[in-house]
Amino acid sequence: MLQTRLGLGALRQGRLLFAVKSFSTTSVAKIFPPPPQTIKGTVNDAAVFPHHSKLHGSYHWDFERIIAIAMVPQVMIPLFTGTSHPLMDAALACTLITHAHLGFESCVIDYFPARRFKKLSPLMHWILRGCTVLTLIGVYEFNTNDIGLTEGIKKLWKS
Amino acid sequence: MFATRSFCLSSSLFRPAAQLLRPAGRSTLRNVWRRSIATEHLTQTEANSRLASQRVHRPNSPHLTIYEPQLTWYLSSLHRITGCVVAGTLYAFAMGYLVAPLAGYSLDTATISGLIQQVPTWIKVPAKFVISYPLTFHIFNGIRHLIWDTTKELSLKGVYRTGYAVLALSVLTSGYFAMI
Repeated sequence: MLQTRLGLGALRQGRLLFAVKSFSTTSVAKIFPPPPQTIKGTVNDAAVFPHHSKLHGSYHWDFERIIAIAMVPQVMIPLFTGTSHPLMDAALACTLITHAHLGFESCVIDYFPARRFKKLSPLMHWILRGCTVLTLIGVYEFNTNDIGLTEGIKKLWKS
Repeated sequence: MFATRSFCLSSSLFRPAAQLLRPAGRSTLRNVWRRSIATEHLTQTEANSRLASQRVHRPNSPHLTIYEPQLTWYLSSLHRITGCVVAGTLYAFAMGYLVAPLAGYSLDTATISGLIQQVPTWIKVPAKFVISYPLTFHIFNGIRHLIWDTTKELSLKGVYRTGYAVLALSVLTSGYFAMI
């Protein structure tokens, strides 16, 4: 790669024609310090396309929509009619925690991108998975040893 | 007659112009085309390191601070925030229910209900509104997004119509829940 460099003679002769301007005219506002700048390969390397998988594409989208649509009656029926049943509580717990996990996963993907946070991003994903497992166990314990999710919220709300 | 006029025109037009242009043109060309430029050869590693050092100083593109406040992206941000609030509450309570007996406490319904009964009513009614509003907003905005997934109401007028409907429905529903 050839890098051009202007000599002093050119600067002296073409001072009026080639005035040097700064790259930016406003103060640089940085949110985070820039990450270590690593350039992979050269400009002549072939482009690498991301792995194509339906499990991360349309199947994932369908699964998210199925969970969301299944949650609508499971949330609306106890919320507006007050009826409750242990099996309904169990189904609500499964879909609700799955929906919450998918939402938190989107937040982790957006706010801890793997390209920038090479170690923190997998750690956050595993922390989320651990919390989801603990939440499933906790809600199961609450549904079996206490009066259940729907009755519990109703009792707390009307106390 | 014609021969005499052409001879006079040629002599009067071209000889002074040539005299005027010749020294000025030469000096201008000499000044313009003479440049002293030196080039240096860089290895791939040196070029990459120089590019990396230049990229460190690139400014951020302007983003949240320059966008006009609009219902569209405000509701979208609020959807994620309310979802995190409701899901975070569920996660915190479930994990607390598991961990509390290790510290000698108990988070069962009877204990919490007894604590809530000691709070006066004039605090509980607005508190119920604040607690239930993230849930109701998230429910109705989620239904709004499911409506969009069927490619309905995706015009700008439809987006604003459903947005105002979500706001009205969530406020009314939370108000009803606060009064129970």
